[in-house]
Amino acid sequence: MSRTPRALILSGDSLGGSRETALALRMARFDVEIESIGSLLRKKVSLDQLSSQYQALAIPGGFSFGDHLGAGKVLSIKIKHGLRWDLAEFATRGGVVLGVGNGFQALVRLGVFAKDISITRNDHGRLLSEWTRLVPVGNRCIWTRGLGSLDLPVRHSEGRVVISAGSRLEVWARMERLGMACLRYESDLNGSEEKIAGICDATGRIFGLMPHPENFIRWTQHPEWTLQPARSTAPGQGLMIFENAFQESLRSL
Amino acid sequence: MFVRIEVATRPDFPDPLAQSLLKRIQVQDSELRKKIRWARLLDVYWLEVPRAREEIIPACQEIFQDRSTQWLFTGNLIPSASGKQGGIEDLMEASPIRPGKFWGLERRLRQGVFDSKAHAVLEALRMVLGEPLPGVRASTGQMLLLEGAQLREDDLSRLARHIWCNPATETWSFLPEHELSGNERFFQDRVRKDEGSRAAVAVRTSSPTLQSFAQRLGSPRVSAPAAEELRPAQAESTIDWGVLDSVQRTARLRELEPMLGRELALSELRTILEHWNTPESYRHRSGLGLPRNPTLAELQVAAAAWSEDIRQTTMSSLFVEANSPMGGAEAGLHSLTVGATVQQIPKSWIVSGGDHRPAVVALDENTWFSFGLRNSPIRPGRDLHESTLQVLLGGQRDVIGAEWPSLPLAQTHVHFLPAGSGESQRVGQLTAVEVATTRSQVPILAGAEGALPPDSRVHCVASSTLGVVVKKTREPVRSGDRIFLVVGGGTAHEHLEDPVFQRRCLDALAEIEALGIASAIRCSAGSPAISAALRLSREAGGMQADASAMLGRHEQILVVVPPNIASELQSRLQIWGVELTPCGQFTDSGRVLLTRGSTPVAELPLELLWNGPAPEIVSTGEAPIPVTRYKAPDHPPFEKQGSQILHELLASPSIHSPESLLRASDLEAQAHAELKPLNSGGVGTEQSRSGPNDGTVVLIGPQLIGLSEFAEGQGHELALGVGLCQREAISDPRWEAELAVDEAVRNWVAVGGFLGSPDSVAGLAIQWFGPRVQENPRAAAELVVAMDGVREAALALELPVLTSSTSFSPELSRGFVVCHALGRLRGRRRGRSADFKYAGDAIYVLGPEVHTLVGSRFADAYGCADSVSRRPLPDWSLARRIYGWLGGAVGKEQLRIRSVHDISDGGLLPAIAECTFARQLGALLRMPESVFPEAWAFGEGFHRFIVTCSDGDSTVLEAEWDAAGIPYQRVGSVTAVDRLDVAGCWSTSISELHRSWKGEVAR
Repeated sequence: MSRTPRALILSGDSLGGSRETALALRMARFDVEIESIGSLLRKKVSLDQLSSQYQALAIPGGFSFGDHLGAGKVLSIKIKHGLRWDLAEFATRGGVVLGVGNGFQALVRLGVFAKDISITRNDHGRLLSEWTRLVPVGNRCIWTRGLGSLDLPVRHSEGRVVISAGSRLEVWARMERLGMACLRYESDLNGSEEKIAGICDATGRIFGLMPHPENFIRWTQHPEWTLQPARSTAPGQGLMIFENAFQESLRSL
Repeated sequence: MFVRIEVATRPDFPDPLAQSLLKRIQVQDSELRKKIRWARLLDVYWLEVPRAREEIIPACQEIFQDRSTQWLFTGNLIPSASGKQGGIEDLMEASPIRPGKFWGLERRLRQGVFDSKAHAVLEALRMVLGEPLPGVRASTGQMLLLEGAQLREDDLSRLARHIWCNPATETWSFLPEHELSGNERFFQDRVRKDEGSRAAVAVRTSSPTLQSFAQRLGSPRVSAPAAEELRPAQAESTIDWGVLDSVQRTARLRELEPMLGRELALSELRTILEHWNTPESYRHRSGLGLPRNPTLAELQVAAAAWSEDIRQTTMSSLFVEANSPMGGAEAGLHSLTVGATVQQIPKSWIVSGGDHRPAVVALDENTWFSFGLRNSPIRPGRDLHESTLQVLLGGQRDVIGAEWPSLPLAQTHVHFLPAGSGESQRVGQLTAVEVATTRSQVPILAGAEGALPPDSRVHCVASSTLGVVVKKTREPVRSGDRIFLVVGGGTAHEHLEDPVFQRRCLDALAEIEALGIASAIRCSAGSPAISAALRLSREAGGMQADASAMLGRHEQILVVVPPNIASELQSRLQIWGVELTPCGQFTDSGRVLLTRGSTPVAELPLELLWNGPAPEIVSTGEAPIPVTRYKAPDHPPFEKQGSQILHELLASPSIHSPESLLRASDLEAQAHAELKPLNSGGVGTEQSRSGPNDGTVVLIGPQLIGLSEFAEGQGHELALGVGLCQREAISDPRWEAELAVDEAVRNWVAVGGFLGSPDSVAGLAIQWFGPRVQENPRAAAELVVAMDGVREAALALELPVLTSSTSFSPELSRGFVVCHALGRLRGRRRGRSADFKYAGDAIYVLGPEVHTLVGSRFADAYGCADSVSRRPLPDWSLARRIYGWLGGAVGKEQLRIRSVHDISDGGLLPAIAECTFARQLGALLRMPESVFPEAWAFGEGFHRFIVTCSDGDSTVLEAEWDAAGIPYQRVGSVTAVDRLDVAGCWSTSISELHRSWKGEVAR
């Protein structure tokens, strides 16, 4: 009997991107469920339950806890101490994880990429609300596999990826070796280390990025779509990221 | 244990927040800025955690420390968390001048102000240390560390009072260098004292009845009610009329107006005097133990029930004596003008509309949207930032708390500033927009700035909110249903807006609605809770509620549920972190009873509150005679200096780029925006540049309406355009109203709005700002003719006015209209942007020729000589032909059009310049020989657009325009060079025009 991969999308606590992320995953053919963190905490959903019921976990963008204590910080504390989910273990069991924007910030705070990587305010101090061109690097990340350069929107004030000064060389060398800095801005957008826009873990299954692929799943979301109006029903480039995850999840079933 | 923690960005990283503050200081007080040589901003936390030191240290490290980017200063608690000395001296070492002279300026929230950050700290502490955590308390602040040899205490005081702190909500203190270097501020006793004097609360409280919630959640304390709220003793006090006659009683009531929050109209005074002057009333009241004369609480209920916000009393008034179609009418102004359009243009898709509440429109069985308006004059002395937040976030609450509750999707924002307003005022409103929209995650998809006359002392903010209806059935409110107040958003008594909390509330309430648990969710829309409860109590037949909860001065969200659902509701909302407080229930008594404890403090018949006084009669005098003030021309000849005039017009407040406003919200990354208000060409390149679109297109897709099964292509595209018109040179409220309606419709049609077909789903929404009309016949007459102008335009275009809203302020000298046009597109493919697409394309003007400068921005700025000309007038029949063709209701060649941009403020040349910006194309224009050059270039009128098409499509399109009776002129062609070239006159650089247009505000 064939099964369809299932994805869980976190919501609540001002994670405003849940619906858009759900739409993107659904268009990529996942069975999708949106559940608030408060509800998961109340149900005490364990890692075992998570990995037995879902093949994908998405932490969407938003403004959880008003970015107090640092963007994504309280959210990461809720995942680590409240839900007690070890996302690396979820990936080891075949799951795939996506963190977008605020979700990426939470993944960084959780330390799933490396403990000496952090994220801070854009070097110019401004809120970025624009489209940008991105370049995938390497093929470690299952989410970006096969992608060429792509345009995506960004919206953030804290999107600058930094590596601790004391261990920079060592950490960067490891990231390079493992292909973890898998998505870069084409131009320097916010002072991010090596123009990093997205990072995957060593398995390539946990992926976080500041740009918003869920907001480019239709061609008509691109600012230049009216140049080619005949393509108005075409998919957007961001959709492929979700389709990649679907293919990988199918293999893991 | 008491803990003080200071969090600083490590000196090897820039501190953008401190830099941004220095920019603000430069703008507001450049002398002070010269004295500051270096600055860093630190977050400060005061904690009381009843756990052992060994537990607290790792918890604080987990919650507060990011070793890569931050240092923590904690006294001796975690000395390893910063640089080599373990204190703030490490940060001072980074100052470029050493040894320098340092100051600390610390700010914290005042008593009773909700501390959102402390709330986050408490949540984190509970997660890390485990619940329950009784007795834990937290509060937060910030410290500005400054270095400057010339800085004195009075400089810091100026900085705190006028730039960095909000005196209404924050207090501040100075820390001289010796205190900074020492560790005393981290000592237990000192932190206990500081924390003990901390007043901000980490849990929202709106009334004393919330104390139990606050205690349960571990709030540091529950604050006292705000000063202006009705205190228990006052609520229960009686108006002592004694032996006063009716004149004296009226005078006594007038004295009470400040406590009631507004002036009472004469008819309201009469109604009050009559109601409390009958033997039946005496008998009834004595039976309840109430005094013979009204209590303050009762007067406050009546004042809320009959307020402008709730009853739109001015628009219901009878306007008489005007030499206008309204003269001597026996119905209120609203039902004769904007309200009449809904009756005269009946549409089956209008679910609810025609009044001042959010309108609801059904696009199909599954997809309903709502559209609500919020406008507010911001009077002198009110905080601009907070007031702007209230308008935007209040607008979001209006749609979630509407009759058909909706999740907000997008907003529009128009801010009117007095001409010549300083940068700091513009920065203030932009910051408010950024805070409101990014944190509540409802983007601004149309924004503009308008100018009020320089002598205006008010700002005006006009906002609209588009929402998607989450529940399409309505349960009646029944006797016995319980009433709860939501604690969150802008609903706390300290009336500070908190967009992060609001987002939680919106999501939580949308879920509650989708589950069908609540009988009703209502927002009290700028008034106390009682006003929203009154509407529902009419449905149920009466109400009994807590007086302090119902009469708090500020806006509230009410949730009503059947009694057996109450605990489920609380439990579900708790999952979202949203708190509720019970405050009463509906009854079938036919009366409204408010109590404090078990003591009645107000008891009023529902009928009296609902029907209220009879509509007021407003004297309008004569209809205003349109006046055109001609200013002697004072400009160089077009042939020589036309390009300079073009630069100046593009930089003027009504035309310049809205980019700084729009990019303060996250408009680019919201999945439902299909066509954004800004066009961006060259994404991801250094040359990326933006130009304007006329309107915006939103896709109300399946993910928003909660469908689990859907196919690609489902959903409806909805276009939105905004129009406003204020002219210095012309005083004609009807003409200005017509121009605002026409501009909104042009903007909507330009991006693809579908008008003039039986399948069209489209309407208008109208906002009016003006002086108070009572006892001001001229202002009353202006309102009458403006609304009549709106009615005429709406009927001519067959666009019903779906909703309207009015704001009156004595500080406004003239009234003006803001109009929204919204409606469906005929398919996604019909969406159009304003940018020129390809070199070689033909440029046309569709619409009537303009031969005059009268009424133009040009005339406002430079005067005009053609005093014999009349100002352009609308031709609604022609408008229907043009708009119908552009929207696709008639004709078949519209898809050949490559760009559409309406011609509005500034006329033809500014509009063409705007079309060239996004793709860095140019234009070669040919001015016809027989025209008056300035009028051709800068004249303004009705119903005009710039459209482009490929040269090869010109013949086909011209034939179709001829057949449809649409006037057109080919004015030139698109070029690949960076020049706007008016053949035979002058040529100027597009890049420089773009710079003039952009004129960004530095924040």
